[in-house]
Amino acid sequence: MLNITDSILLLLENEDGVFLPTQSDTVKSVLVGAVLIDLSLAGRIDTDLESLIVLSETSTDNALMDEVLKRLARHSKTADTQHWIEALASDQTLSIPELALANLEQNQIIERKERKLLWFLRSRIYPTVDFDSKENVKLRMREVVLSNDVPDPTEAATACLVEACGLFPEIFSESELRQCRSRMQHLRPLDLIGRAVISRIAKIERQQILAARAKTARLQKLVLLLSVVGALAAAVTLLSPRIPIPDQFGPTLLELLWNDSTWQQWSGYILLGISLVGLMIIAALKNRLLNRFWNYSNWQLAHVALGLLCILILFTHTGFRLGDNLNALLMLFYLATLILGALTGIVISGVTQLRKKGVTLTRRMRVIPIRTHIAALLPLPALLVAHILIVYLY
Amino acid sequence: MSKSWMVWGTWLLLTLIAIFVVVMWMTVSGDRDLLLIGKTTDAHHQIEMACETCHAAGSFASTKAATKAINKSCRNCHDDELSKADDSHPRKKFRNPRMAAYWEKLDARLCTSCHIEHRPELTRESAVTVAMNFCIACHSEGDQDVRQIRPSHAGLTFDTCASSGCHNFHDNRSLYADFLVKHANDDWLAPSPIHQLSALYLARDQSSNRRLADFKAIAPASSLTDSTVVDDWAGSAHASSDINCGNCHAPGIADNQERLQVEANWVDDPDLGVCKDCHKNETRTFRQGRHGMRQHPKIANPRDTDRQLQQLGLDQLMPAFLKSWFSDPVHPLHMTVAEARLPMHKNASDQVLNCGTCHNPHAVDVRHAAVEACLGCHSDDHSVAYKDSRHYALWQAESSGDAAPGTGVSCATCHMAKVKRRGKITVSHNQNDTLRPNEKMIRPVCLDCHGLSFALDSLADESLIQRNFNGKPSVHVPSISWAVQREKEDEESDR
Repeated sequence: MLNITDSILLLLENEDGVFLPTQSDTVKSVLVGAVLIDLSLAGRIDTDLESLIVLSETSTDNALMDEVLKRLARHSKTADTQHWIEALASDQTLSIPELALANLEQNQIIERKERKLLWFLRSRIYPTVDFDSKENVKLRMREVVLSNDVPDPTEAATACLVEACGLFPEIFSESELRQCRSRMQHLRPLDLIGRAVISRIAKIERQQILAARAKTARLQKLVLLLSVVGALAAAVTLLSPRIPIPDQFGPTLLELLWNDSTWQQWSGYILLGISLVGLMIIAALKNRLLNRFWNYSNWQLAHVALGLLCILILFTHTGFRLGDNLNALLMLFYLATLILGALTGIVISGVTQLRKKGVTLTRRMRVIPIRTHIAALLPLPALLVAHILIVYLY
Repeated sequence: MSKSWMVWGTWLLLTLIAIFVVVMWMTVSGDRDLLLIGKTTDAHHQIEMACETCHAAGSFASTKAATKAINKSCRNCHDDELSKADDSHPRKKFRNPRMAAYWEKLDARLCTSCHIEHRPELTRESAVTVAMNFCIACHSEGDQDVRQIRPSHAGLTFDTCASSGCHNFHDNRSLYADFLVKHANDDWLAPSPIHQLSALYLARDQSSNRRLADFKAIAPASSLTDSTVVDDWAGSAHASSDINCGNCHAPGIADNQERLQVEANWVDDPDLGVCKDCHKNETRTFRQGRHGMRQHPKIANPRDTDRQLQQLGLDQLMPAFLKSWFSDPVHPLHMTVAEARLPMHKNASDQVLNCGTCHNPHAVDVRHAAVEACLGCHSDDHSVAYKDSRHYALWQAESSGDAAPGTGVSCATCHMAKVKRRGKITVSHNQNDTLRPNEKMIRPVCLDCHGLSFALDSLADESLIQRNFNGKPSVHVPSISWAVQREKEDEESDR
């Protein structure tokens, strides 16, 4: 018979033998809660709203449970369950997932395998060998949720932790999830330790939200700074007189930059490449293709940084020369795109700063810079093709 | 379809249309004003829309072929000029594989190594687009190191080679060392200063001036009412050479004395192209200068839309209205004064540059064409200062008969060189022939009246040029004394 820790851990495993992030604070807290419930069910500890008491230090024949019990017994002061969940989850000397996995392996429910990626990357996987055990867990959970009976304490505690871990989607279809939502909500508060785990998870989530907000605020300040620098740099590019090519025979760096066709092609295509990457970042963000790799603010910062980089490379390509005719049009629209992009960055990143000071920008005020930034971008593909064709065909 | 898709679809369509239009302009035909990447040089701006004159290789040629074609185009128009100039750095000299070491430094086989179009920022005097110390490329090391082989040049910097009146890259006819030595002791002014070819030319003009009676003019009666016109013609070289009204006003008729034929084919305002039938040399040289270069035979014609489309296999696909929209604009045959980049009188802006601009077709007064015609348009400092100059005073004296023919100096004396060929004096109508560099003027013009040293100093003094040589030069070109010194040293070492 699997204990609660084993059941939860099995549900965390995907089909490739890889476990979902067992090192995350949330999962660790759930696993600690599972061990504590197992200890409670084994009669080694007792809990109430204010304290967790060790009743017996007798071995449970389970390495993980014994290790946790030892730590609980070693502590002389009384503390509540939530304190212990937090303390044990953050204890670097206690590797709950490793011990739990070793227990499952010992019971021949999973096996340990080494996997090679390419020729140098190694990883360890734990594919399930006893599929019945895993299916049993799922079946038990389905019974608990789908029946209206009052579940026994073990099932109630397991269901509570499965819900806390967000593992019900592994067991139920989407339509079933919608139908059983209220039943799942009812199962949550049935176990005292489970409630402490849920409370701990809520605290972790709050901390994560606050940390994310602080990080976003820092990134927004960087976006603001880079946008201001970008706007100034673009304005300088537009208004500065060109930098003359030295009146000396022989290739100087400036002459190569602004007069040599090979260097011009390099700087031109690098500029095009970076502009395209900047454009693709925003297009992909809008379609939610990149959020899984990096958060939105980071990508936003990358977009603004690329815009600033474009201005620097534009300088190496033109030396503040605006060109004539179609080239002048291209340059003006490109600079307009950069300047309006920088203004957009200032407005978007400034919203948070202004909100702190009690000033709220209307949606229209936030949208206009973005739309003009995009509008300035629209003629660029045609002008760019013309620019490249003029160079190569004449 | 959502609004978003509509907007982006419209944008994509417009972008593709714009790209299509640009590609058509480039590869088929159409007005290419917008495609110019930079201001064209002062000489070539008149023909900048006849792109194929220089870009002769076609749109899809390789870079090598395109460069070769452009350089061939340069030679099409400038080869004669360079041959006459006894080019000091001819292309054939640098095509020799032994010169390969210099190709990397400055490839003198290609005109475009030093003269690139559409780069106003790089364009210096004489349309040179490399730094003016370019001589350093080849003459700063080895057996070509000028500081070693000419001790007098030891302390000189390379930016002074071409800027001090001593050397030119192409035309050094007035700067050869033996020529300098030969004229080392010239006085600043000859004892009897007369421009010999001008004197001969004007004498020729006078000898043919046999006035005819007005009634010999054969034209419709309605066209003979202006007595001034008839009178001008009767006293002109045309009349004395049996060129009657019909030769110009009824071109192509068999007999200009046959009144009925003349009346039947009469044209009130004939195309001045009729001049070229008789004045072949003048027409040829006029087309070589800035006034008439749009008519140079090597200027490319507008592209034929149908032919271009046929080459691309698109002639059947393109609707007629698009074909007419995508057609090259007709290149104007004549330059207007308004298009000039030199300062011009505003009231002359509408003038079109053809034979009649300078020459009254009936009077054919070369003296008017030699000064007043020029000053009627040109208003730069040099032109405006002419009438305060000693040269003009001499011209007035000659024109009034107080001085001998050839003693006066008109605009044409210096800028429209007289050429003696097979005993006949003709006037080059390429008014740029004695410019670029201005030392080209020394042999055919200046030396008839002035010493070489004075001429070199004067032409090197930009301020004096602006004052139209009203005063003495404040610049001294030391090349004559250096050449004399070197000859002395050579003689001593020979002894």
